[in-house]
Amino acid sequence: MRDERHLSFKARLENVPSAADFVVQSAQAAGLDDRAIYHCQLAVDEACTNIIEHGFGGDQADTHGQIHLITGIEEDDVFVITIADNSPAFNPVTYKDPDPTMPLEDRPGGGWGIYFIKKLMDAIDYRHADGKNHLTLRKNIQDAGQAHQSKAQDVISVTRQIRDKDYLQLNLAGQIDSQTSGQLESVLDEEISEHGNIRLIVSFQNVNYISSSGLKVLVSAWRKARQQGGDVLVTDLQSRIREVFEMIGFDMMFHIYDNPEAAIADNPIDRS
Amino acid sequence: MSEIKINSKEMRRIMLVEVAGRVDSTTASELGETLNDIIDNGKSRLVLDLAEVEYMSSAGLREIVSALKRVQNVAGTGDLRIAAPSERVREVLELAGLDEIFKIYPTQVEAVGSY
Repeated sequence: MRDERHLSFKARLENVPSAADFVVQSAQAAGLDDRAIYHCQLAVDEACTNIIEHGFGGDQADTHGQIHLITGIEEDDVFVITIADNSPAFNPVTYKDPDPTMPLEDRPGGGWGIYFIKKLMDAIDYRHADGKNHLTLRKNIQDAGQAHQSKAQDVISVTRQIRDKDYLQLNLAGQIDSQTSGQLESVLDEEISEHGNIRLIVSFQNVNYISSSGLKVLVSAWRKARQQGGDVLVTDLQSRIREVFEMIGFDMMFHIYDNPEAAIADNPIDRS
Repeated sequence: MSEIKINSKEMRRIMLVEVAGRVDSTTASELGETLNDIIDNGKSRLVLDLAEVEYMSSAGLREIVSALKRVQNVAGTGDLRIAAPSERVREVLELAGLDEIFKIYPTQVEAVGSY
């Protein structure tokens, strides 16, 4: 195994977030993509939480419980996490899965953590040796080139224009869906949070589709800009998108204009 | 320990609960207690805004499921609706089959307006 890393900690819940962060760092170094890294973080959180709550009988200050994590890379393309602990033997692999299609009233309160681990990881193994539980989780490292290709199919383009009265105009082009909304989010975030550009005009002239994830990104930018005394003004909505805005009440929240010139002339930020 | 921030606002017909940060085994009980207090105070129409939640483990899901069970037991009109979950939070909701159980809205406005 390559790039082997170790972490030992006392079996207390308060230590679990930093243990999960340790795994995040190892997974990043191994070249996993963000989603796969998040899966590893969640799986390790769930596994350690179960060990503390069930294996060691709860979160106790005077616990003798220790958890040991080992991460590494196998065969160049598998990220491996082993979680060892000295609680009584328990095999999560054979634990009965809860059924996600169960109606609310019949749902068990527990068992979901182990279920998540099984679903989020590509492989999971358990053995009991030397008086310890050893749970080994494996996550395949996707070909970076492949991951890049699948992303390249869906992009939106954003051009910036500095306008009168300190407005910054962002011209969007493309489809804003669950694939591309993250891109829009980082653009808006960079302008508002990093550059302090809170007087924004967003032109949708070349946007023919916006999904709920795109709308969410827009609202979040709108909220941030307004918190700092700015605003996000919306212009050039195609009729279909305008309908969506009206249907969900966005026309009551956003200032919407036919074009950027009308937005600048109205200048609602300095009016309010 | 993880960081969590919970902000509840009473609106005309509903109680809006905005959560930010990490909801995991170290913070879930705080969320559970907040929801329980709200329900104890006779509120049964809740919107849980998860827009700023970057991380949610099964410990957090357990709290919102038990809150949903409680409000749905209040005669007729009780519900807990979820607003603006991130892709990551949505993924765990879907894994647990909770996207079929909760009403989930892309924005706070839509969730609040749904009552």
